[in-house]
Amino acid sequence: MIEAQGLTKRYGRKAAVSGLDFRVEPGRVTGFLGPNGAGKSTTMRMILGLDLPTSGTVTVNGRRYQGTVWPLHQIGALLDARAVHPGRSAYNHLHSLAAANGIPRSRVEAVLDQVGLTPVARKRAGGFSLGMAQRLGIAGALLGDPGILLFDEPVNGLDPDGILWIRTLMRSLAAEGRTVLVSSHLMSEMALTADHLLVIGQGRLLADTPLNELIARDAANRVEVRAVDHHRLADDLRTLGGDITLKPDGTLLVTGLDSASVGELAAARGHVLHQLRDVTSSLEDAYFRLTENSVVYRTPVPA
Amino acid sequence: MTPTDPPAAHRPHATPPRATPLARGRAVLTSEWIKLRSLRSLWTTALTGFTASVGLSLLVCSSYRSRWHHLGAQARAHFHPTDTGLGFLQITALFFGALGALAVTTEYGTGQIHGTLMATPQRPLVLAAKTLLLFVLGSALALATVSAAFLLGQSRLTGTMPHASLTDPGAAHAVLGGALYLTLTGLLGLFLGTLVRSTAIALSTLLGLFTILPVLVDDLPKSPAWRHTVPYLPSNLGLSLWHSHIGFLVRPAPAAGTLALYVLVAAAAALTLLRTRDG
Repeated sequence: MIEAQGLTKRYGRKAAVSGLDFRVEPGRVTGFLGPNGAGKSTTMRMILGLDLPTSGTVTVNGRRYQGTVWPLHQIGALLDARAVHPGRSAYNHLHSLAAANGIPRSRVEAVLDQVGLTPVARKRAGGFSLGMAQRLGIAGALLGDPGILLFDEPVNGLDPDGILWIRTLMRSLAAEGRTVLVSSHLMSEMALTADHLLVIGQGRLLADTPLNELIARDAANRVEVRAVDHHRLADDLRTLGGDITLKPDGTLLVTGLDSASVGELAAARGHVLHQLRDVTSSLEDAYFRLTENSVVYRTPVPA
Repeated sequence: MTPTDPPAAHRPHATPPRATPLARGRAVLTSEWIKLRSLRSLWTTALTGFTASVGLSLLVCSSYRSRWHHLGAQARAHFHPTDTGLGFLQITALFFGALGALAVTTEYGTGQIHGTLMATPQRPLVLAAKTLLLFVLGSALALATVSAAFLLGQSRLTGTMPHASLTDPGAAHAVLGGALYLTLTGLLGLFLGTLVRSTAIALSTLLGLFTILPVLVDDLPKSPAWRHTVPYLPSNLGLSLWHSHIGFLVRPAPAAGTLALYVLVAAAAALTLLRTRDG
C-alpha cells in the first residue's frame, strides 16, 4: 500500500504538488490521471525517494522509501524506459539492479523470459526499439517480485500488441493481490485498465474514486431533449433549476435534471417533444469536466 | 473471482537477504562492479590512457636517445632520466580524472541513476561503493601504467646516456608518487562528476584545472602571492609527487597530504549534495 499525507513539493515559489492525501490500495489497478504538469511524475518520484518532499510524507508499506533496506522486494517501478545506459546489455542492466538488492541471477533470467526479451538479453539496450525498452523497464520493475508496482506512462509509443500486453499484465498483477499504480494520458486505455482513479490537476487531488462512479456521476442528470418550441421549453426548464445549453440544431442539453423530470414538465406544460434521452458519459468526458480548470498548458482556441 | 471477493494477498516468491550492514554493503558493491565492468567507455578510457602514457614515454626517450650526441654539455648535465621518462604523467592525470568522472556522469547522462537510487536509496552507500572500486581499480591501473611507461621509456635510454631503474630509490619514489597522483586524480574526478552530474562539464573542468590553468600561471613572477597559491594547484601538487626538481613547489609528503585533503573536501561536498538533492 502507498499512503501520502499532506504531500507537497515546491520548486522555489511554484508548488508542483500541494497537500496530496491518498492511499493506493492492493488488489486493484489505480489509474493516476492529470494534465501535463499536474504533478504526476513528481508524485511518483517522491514515492520512490528520488525527489524529497518539501513537506508531508509518503510511505510504502508504512515506511519511507529511503528507510527501506531492500526496496526492490517491495516496490518496482518503470519511470522512463530510456533511462538505461545504451552500451549495457539488457542482462547486465537487470543483473546490476538485482545484485543491489540481493536478488539471484535466476530471477533476472525469469523476468527476461516473462517480458519476452530472452533472445536479445545480451544485446546492447541502446539498439532496442521503444517497445523493447518498455519491456526491459517492466522486467526491472518485476525483478524483486514486489507487492507494489508503479508505471509512469507505460503504453506511450507502443503498438496495439504492446498495449494489450501491458494492459493484461497490469490486470493480472492486481488480480494477484498486488498494488498497481499507473499513470497515463490515454483515457480510453485507462478506462479499460483501471479500477480506481486518482485525478490531479495543478498539484491538487481532484478525485479519488472508483472508475465507474466517476463516469456515472458525470453522466447523471444530463439529458438531451428536442422540442418543437425549444425556446419556451428552455425557459420552463430553467424555472425548474436546469442548466441549459442550446445546440445549433435546436437540441437542448440539460444538466441538473433527469429525464423523468424533463418529461413530466413537458407533459404538464404541453410541449411537443421529438426526442428525450439520457446522455451517456465516457471517462474522457468526465476527465475533461474534472480538469477543465486546472490545465497548465492549454492550446489557445482560435478566434 | 467475483468483484466483491477480497483480493488474495500477494505472496512474493523471492525473499530478501537479511538486512545486515555487511550484506547491504556487499550487494551495492557487487551492483556497482557489474555496472563498471559493463561500461565500455571506462575501459576505452583506461586503455587509451595506458597506450598514450607508454607511447609518450617511448617517444620522448627515443627522441632524446637520437639527439643525445648533438646535445650540449649543459643540456646533458640537466638531463634527468626519471623526470624525462615520467613527463607523460601530467597528461595521463586527465585520463584518470575523466575515468573517475565517467563512472558517475554516464549514470546521470542516461538516467540510469534513477535505477541505481531506486535500488539503493541509501545514497552514501552508492558513493562509497563507487569510491572503493575506483580506488582499488584506479591504483592498480595507475601502478601498471606508470611502471610500464617508465620501464619501456628507460629501455630506450641506451649507450652512454644516463638511465634509471626501479631499484634506484629516487626512481621508485617517483613511480609510486606518480601512481598516487593518478589515483587521487581519479577520485577527484569521481567527486567532481557527482557534483556537476554532466560529463561535458566535468571533463572541461578537469581540463581547465589540470592543463590550462597551470600553463597560464606558471610563468607569472614568483611573488609571495604566487608562492602561496600556484604550488597548491592539483597539477603542481602532482608534480611535487614525482619530479626531482620541484623548486618552489611543495615537498612530496605535504603535497600528498594536500592533494588527499582536496579529495576529502570534494568527497564531503559530493556526499552532502547527493544526500540532499533530488535524484
